[in-house]
Amino acid sequence: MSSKVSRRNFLRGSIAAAGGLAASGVVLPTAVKAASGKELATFIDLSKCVGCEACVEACREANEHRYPEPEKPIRKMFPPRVKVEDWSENRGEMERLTPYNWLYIQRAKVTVDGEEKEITIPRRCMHCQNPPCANLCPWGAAKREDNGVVRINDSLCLGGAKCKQVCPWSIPQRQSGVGLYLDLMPSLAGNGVMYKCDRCYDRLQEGELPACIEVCPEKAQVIGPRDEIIALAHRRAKEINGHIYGEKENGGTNTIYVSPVPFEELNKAVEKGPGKPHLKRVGNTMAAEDNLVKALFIAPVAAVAAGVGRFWNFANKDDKPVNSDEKEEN
Amino acid sequence: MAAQGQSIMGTWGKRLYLLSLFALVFTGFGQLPIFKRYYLADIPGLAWTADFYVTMIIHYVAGIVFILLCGYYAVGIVRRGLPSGALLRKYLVRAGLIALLLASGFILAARNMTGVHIGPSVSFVTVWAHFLLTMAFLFASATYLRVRRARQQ
Repeated sequence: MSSKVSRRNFLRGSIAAAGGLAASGVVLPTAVKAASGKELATFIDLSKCVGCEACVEACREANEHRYPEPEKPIRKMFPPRVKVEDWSENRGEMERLTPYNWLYIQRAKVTVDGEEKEITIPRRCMHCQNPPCANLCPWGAAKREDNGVVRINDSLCLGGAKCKQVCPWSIPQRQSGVGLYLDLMPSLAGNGVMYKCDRCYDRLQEGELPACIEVCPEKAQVIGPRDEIIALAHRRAKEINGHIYGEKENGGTNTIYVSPVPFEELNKAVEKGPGKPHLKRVGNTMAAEDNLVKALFIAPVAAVAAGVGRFWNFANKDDKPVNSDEKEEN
Repeated sequence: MAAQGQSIMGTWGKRLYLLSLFALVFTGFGQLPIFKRYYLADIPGLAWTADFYVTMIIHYVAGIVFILLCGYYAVGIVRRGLPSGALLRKYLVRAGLIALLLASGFILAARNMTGVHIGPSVSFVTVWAHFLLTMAFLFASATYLRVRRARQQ
């Protein structure tokens, strides 16, 4: 897409979105502000998305001031198997996720009602309800805010890319040569900072809409309290006999897609690879941990019960204390 | 059944305690993205060390075993009667460190559960507390072993 067309779409989208949102009465900036303590979700209607990339351009403009500015030359890593990832010379890339492109349009050529059609899908972080990236980040750099936004603290992230490895969609993208690791052991640990969509967290805090939603000329995206968004998605899916993605994926996300085409077909049709996430059904990646945590909470009670049963029962029999030999205990 | 002359944990209990402790420390450090980077996961049979979900599950299982043994031991100690003086202080330091480690671990484990949300500030403080307490526990254990060895010589 040429920048000329995108700019035009951008302006057109801003006006249309403002009018549309005001008219809809469903999701307004004030509603977002009022609901900032509540879990927010976004609804993306793929039957409305035309793939104009206005959202992509708006995302880039809104977040440009936060893009990484790496120190050059970027120091080589040790051991050599750890590769430097530098996107700073390719900031214009818009056909995949990068540290400079947190949202892109994925395209799928599919058949709808016997007619070949292109479905366009805005792709970015899904903002999982129980995000493995935030749960498993060893430094607490990735976090889930109270309003459900999952974001990465770029002043704390060391760029180990664990978040990308545990993300079912491999969303976060790394830029080397920037961040805290440069002040610690720049060759031996870390490798930059991970970047991804944070749903324009600062704008949300100000009661504004995320840039991508604000400019969408087709009003294909809306944001609001999760329960309302889920209800909206189900209503829309019923209207168009459509399909939902994101409600149950990875135990539940806060990005809900509705498509006229089954997501299994979309997944087959989209280009997948680095920075280009799939659309497969995803089970709850933290499910096994869920069961173990329950056992973990029962363990202290079980331990005390076992101890009391053992030692008090023993005492009742012959009233002999257990050995007090300190050496043996240690 | 422990009779006089037997320890609270018994030989196998102590072995299991040390094994669970080793598993906790190993899989805890395995949460850092270092095992693949530094070739440990390349060693045949150790590829699993680079899978964060696997190491997390082992961490939880080892934690359950560790808690069971610690709780059991604590009841035994109380039943036997707490010591006094320097020995009591040593017990309290060890018990305090373990209790704080377990408390921070519980908070993190609860946070990781589906349907549970713990605010980002509490979560951040707990992550670092768990890490720093682990380092303190390892330092205290190393110091204790060094002092004990010196006394034995």
